[in-house]
Order: sequence, then C-alpha cells, then structure tokens
Amino acid sequence: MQDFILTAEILDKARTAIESSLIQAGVRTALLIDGAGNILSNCGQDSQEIDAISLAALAAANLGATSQIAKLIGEEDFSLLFHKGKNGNIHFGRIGEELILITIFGEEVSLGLVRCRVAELTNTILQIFEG
Amino acid sequence: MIDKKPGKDFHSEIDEAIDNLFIPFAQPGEKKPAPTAAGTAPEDPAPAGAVPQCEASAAPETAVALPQEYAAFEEALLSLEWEISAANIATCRSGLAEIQKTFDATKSGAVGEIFTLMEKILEAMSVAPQSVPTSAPKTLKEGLHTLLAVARAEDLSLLEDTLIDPTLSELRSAVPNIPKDYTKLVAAAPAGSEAKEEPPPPPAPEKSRTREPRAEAADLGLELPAAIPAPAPAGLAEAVNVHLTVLEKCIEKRIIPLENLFAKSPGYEKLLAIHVELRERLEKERQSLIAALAGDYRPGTQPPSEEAAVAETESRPCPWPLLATASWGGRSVAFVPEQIAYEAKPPKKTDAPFYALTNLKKGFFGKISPAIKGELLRQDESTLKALRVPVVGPAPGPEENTLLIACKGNCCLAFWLPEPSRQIEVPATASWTPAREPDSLFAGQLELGGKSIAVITIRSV
Amino acid sequence: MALIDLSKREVHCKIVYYGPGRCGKTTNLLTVHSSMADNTRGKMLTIETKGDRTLFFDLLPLNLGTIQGFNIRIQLYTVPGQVMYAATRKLVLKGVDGLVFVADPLQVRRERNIESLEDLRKNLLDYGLKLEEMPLVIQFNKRDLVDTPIPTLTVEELEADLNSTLKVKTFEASAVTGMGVFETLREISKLTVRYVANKHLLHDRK
Repeated sequence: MQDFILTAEILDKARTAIESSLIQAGVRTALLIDGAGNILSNCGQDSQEIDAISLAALAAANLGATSQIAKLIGEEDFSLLFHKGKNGNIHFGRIGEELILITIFGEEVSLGLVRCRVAELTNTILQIFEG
Repeated sequence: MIDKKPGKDFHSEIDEAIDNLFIPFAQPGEKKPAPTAAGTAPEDPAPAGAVPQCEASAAPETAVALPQEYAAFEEALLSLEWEISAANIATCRSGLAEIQKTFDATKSGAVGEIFTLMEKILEAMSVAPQSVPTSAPKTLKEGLHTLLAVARAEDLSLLEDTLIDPTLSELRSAVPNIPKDYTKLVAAAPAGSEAKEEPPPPPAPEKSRTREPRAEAADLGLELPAAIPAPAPAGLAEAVNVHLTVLEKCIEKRIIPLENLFAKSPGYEKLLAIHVELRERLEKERQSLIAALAGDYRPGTQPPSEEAAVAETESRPCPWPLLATASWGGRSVAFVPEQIAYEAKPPKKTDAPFYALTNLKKGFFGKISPAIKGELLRQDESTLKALRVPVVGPAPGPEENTLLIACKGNCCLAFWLPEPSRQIEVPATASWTPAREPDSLFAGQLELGGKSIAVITIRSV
Repeated sequence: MALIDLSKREVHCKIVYYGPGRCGKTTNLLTVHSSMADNTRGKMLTIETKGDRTLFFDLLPLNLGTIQGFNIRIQLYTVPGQVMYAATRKLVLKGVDGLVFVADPLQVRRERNIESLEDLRKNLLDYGLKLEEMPLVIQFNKRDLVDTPIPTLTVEELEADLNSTLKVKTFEASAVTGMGVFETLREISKLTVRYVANKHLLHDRK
C-alpha cells in the first residue's frame, strides 16, 4: 500500500470539486476518507457538528465488511451502499482502491441523482489524486 | 516540509510530548488503579452516543389505492429515485404518457403544462442528469399527486391557487435552463414590452395564467394604450408580413448558427435534434402564414422604424402615476414602485458584481422572504437562497449603502444608492419621452420641475 | 500508512492493539480513555455487540499536541480477537503505524497467543509490511491473576514463546487495574511517532 503525501493543493482541488458537485446540489455533508478511516476532506453545512472521526472509522470498516459480505456470496464488491433513515440518508462510494466518499443528505434529495453526481465526481477526484 | 533540526532534537521533543501526555496518569512501576475501568471493564458500557442508531425505514407513503396508471407511474418514479437509468426514465415517460391519455385535454391548460414540464424534466434527466436538481424526482412525484387531485376534482378553480400553481412553479424550477416564469412571459408577450405600434399578432393559445391579465399588464409597468384598436385586415396583413421578416431573421441568424455549432460538438446531439425540430416547426409555420397571406405576402417588410414609434408615443403621459426617485451614479433616476423587491441598508454590503440574496438573511437561521416583497416572493426560499442578482454599475462607494433590488418576471437587478428612494406622484402635466432603444435599462425620460429623471424599469427576458 | 494532512499540518498515527480473544485489548483502551483529560482524548468509539467481545473494532483518538509545527494525533484501535473475525481483524490493520501485542497469561491460552502473533505477521505481510520492521511492543496482561489459583504462564515462558526472536520491549500490565497500561502506551507512542516522523517528515522530503 502506498503512503499518501497530500498537498494542500490536492486537498483544495478535491474540496472544490466536492462542494461544486454535491454541496451545491443540496447534499448536507460529504466526507472524503481513505480506506483506513482517515479524513481527507470534510465539507458541508453539518460538517462541524457530526463526529467525523468516528464516522470515518466506521464507514471504512463498514465498506470493508460489506465487501467481505460481497465475496461470501460470490460478488467482487457491491456497487451501491446506502442507508436510509427517516430524515437523513447516507451513501458510501468507493473512489479507486484507496478512497471512500461518504455523502449525507436529506429526504428532499434523490438518491438516484446523488449517485449520478457521485459517479461523475469519482472520476474528477481520481484525476486530482493521480495528478 | 518541516523545519530544520531533524534527528535528536525532534526525537526528544516527541518523547517529551508523549511523556507529558501520559505521565500525569501513571508513574512508572506504580500500581495505580484506573478510576472507572477497574474490575468489570469489559462490561463497561460504551459511550452511548458513539453507537450509530439504526433508523426504522420510512413509513409507507401512499395508503390510498391509486388508479392503475398512477400506481404504475409512482412505481416507476420510485425506481427512478433509486437509480437514474435509461430504462427507468423510459418507464417513467411511458407511464406519464399513459396518464395523459386518461385526461380530458380541455380540462385545464395548466394541466397540459404539468405534463409538458414533467416530460421536460425526464428528458433533461436522460440527456444530462447532472443538470437536473437533486430534488427533481420528488418534484415529479408532486406533479403526479397534483394530476391525481385534478383528475378527482370536481371544480378545478379551487385547486388552481392551492395546488396547480405551486406545482407548476416547482416543476418549472426543476427544469434546467428554462426561465422560471415561462408561461407568464408568453401571456405577457402580446402586451408588448417594446412600445411598437403594430397591433399584437393573434394571441398565442392561452395558457393557464389568464386570470389576471390586467394586473399583469399593469405590473409589467409599460405603456399600455387604453384601448388597443381592433386590427383592421390591412393592418393584420402588414403585421404578419413584419412577423414573417422577424421569423426569417430569427431562423437564419439565430437558430441555424446554433444548429451548426451543435452539429460540430460531440455530446450535443440531443440539443441539435431539439433545434432541428424547432427550426422545422418554425419553417412550417412560415409556410402556412405565407399561404394564408396569399397575394398580400410582401417579403422583407421591415418593422416600422423606431422614430415612428417614438413619434407615435411622444405625446403620451407618463405611464406610471407613482415613481420612486433616487440618485444613482450621479444622476436622477426613478424606479417603478411595484418592481422594487427590496430596498434598505442590507445586513451585508459587498462589492461583488452579483449580490447573493442569502446576504439578506438575518442571522444564520433567518429567512430571506421576510426581507423582500413583490413578485420575488413567488419564489420559494430555496430558490431565493440560490439567487444572485447582478449589480448594475460599478462597485458601491463608501456612501452608497442602500441596496435596491428591482424585479420583474424572471429578471432582477440590484442598484447601490447613496440614499433611500422617495416616492413621488407624477403630475399629469409632466412631460414623458419614451426611450428609443427598447432593450435599454431606461424606459424613458420624465421632465419634472425642470429636472430630467430617467425611469428605470426591469423587463422580464 | 500515516496520513499527513499538510493543509492542516496534522500527522495521524494509527496504533493497533492486537492479540488473542479476551486478552484485554478493549480494557486497555477503556483504561486510557477513562484516565485522560478531555482535551487530549477524543470520543471512544466501541461497537456494542452481544457479550463482551469486540466485533468490529474500538477506536480512541488522542491528541499529542504540536511538535515542530505539526499537530500530532494518535488513533488507538483494537481488533476483534476471536479467530473467526479474521477479515475484520485484517481490515483494521490497514494503514497501521504501530502495534501493541497483548498476550494472555492463562495457561490454557498459550497456543492462542502464539497463533495470534503468527496471524498478525501474516496479515501484515499481506499489506507488504514486516512485523520485524514495525514499531512493536508486547504487553503481558492480567498480571493480577498471578496471585490467584488460576494457572498462569510466567514472564519467562511468555518471553520464550513470543519474544525470543523479536526482542522488543515488553511490559507487565493489568489492564483492569491500570497497571502498565500507560507504560505500554507511552513506549509504543514514542516508537510510532518517531517511525512516522522519520519516514515522512525527516527523510521523505518530497
């Protein structure tokens, strides 16, 4: 596994991409983390209120666990990981091998369109990180 | 990346920091029972807040049984909500078409528009899902419920204000790149924002908003002659000829260049198709008009010159009995009071070329709507939050602390003024000269007490 | 993999407590959590499952403060000890910077200790890491049981079983009483922060 050396520039670019794609579309919070649960970027209106460290660690573990579940039923990985609540929903997306994008949004935002945007953003962020 | 002095210093600094962090709690070799972990540590409850709560799934949304077409469409919408895929969009579109078949087309023009807008949203989703607001599936669902209510309603007029209008405006704002008050513009167009003398062309098929034509004309704030003379057949032929010239120009100068541009740009196939279809329809229209004119067709009829128009209108009185006068950029100007959506010292002054309406909020949780008035109030809070109004003129100077936002239809402009405006009554004797360029910011000049006041009006685009 | 957040000048170090099931890894973290001041420790995250075993992991973030302009944060993790949770255990090791191997002194767990250490070695290799090259300390836990009739292993036996080739620092501890917990943590923190600093801040000047 490669060590990340993050520059402020990469992080800025990633943050801008997330803000313009997800936050402006009404997503409450978007967290970019790595597979070990470290937070790379934390955007959105609720970003200061949630316990991001715990969320990131659990999300990383959650994705790891789900991909194990996938393997148990003969899948490589699941393409959609989403939890629905009464007022809030959370969507997890993999970005390449190492990164995870967590998106938290309310009832008024459609999952389908969040998925579209996340898919598009995934490519953008990959390009940013791969230079 | 890090300051100099690597090696020993850095290491001892690390050690020291770690010792400081942990030493107060345990001395080396000393048995020091931890206050709470003693004994039964494994049973210690973990901090409750750290455990994520599992939410029960949302309650079922519709309890009442729906007619079959509606149920099918609702199901298609649920799939769409989950995943925007070509198949899901296609199911939705056919589901919508099925519902439309069950409708009596004469019931209300607004209903037809609901279908059109819903179809447009679905179309936009299939072409460029990123351009569609994330709330669009929800808006579509509201459209569906409105349609159902309309289908079940005895008296549509009861629904119009409470249900149909709000639904229409939500649907409109969910369609990307469509002016918000689309139908209103169509309805207002015959009144003519450009003070030309030709009689209006045969009115476009009336859409939903025919309830208050007078009010609309009035808040359009433009010179509306007391009575439009009934078009004489000769005048009609003339007008249609002019219309044909404009139409030809429009096709040649606007649509065809765009078509060529889209044809060259990969990814714009859909827009190209839309433009081709538009052009073909307009050309057909042109042909049928020419056919209808028969011998009266005179290609290249120019619109009456602007001077003539001015001469015609010069003697008119000022169209507004009340005006709000102010000084702006060193000159005397006046605004139409009905168009003023906001005028005060705003909570936040910026020198940006756009003024974001969120700056008008009082406090973090405040709303924008209490601060504004007039037509702008028709927009919902979320739209208002996103609105950025272009500021006319240079960045505000130190004395220019009053912000005036004037709105009409889908067009808003912001002005920084040194002082709040003053309302005046315009005497009937005041001399009024309409502006020559219909596209300018100014509607005309008012001569009042030896002073020349330029009247600023906003025209919806 | 340590994360170095240059925009905030933060260094995150991940220390994992590893060991066989019920050896007291979570208890170590709970003791640390309950003994530290609020301003230096974060919120302890445990995932409650039935019984007292860790199913996923526990996490305790600590803030070491600023050293040479870098704010250093340490995150303590535990792994689920039970053999059957191999997948999660391996997952928690992802990106590890330092390790505490917690050994259980019960006679009956002797084999479990050895198996667990082997399991650790193997899992690290899968991430391309060598146990010998990682910051590591071994904690002989539950020393309070020595004075009870329960048959326990001696320190010599444990050394022979687990540390004969590694030759790392060992600590006698009793996680339930707090003895040795901070000594262990202090040593592994020093080793780990140095390791991360050497790797990224001092030599790896990209």
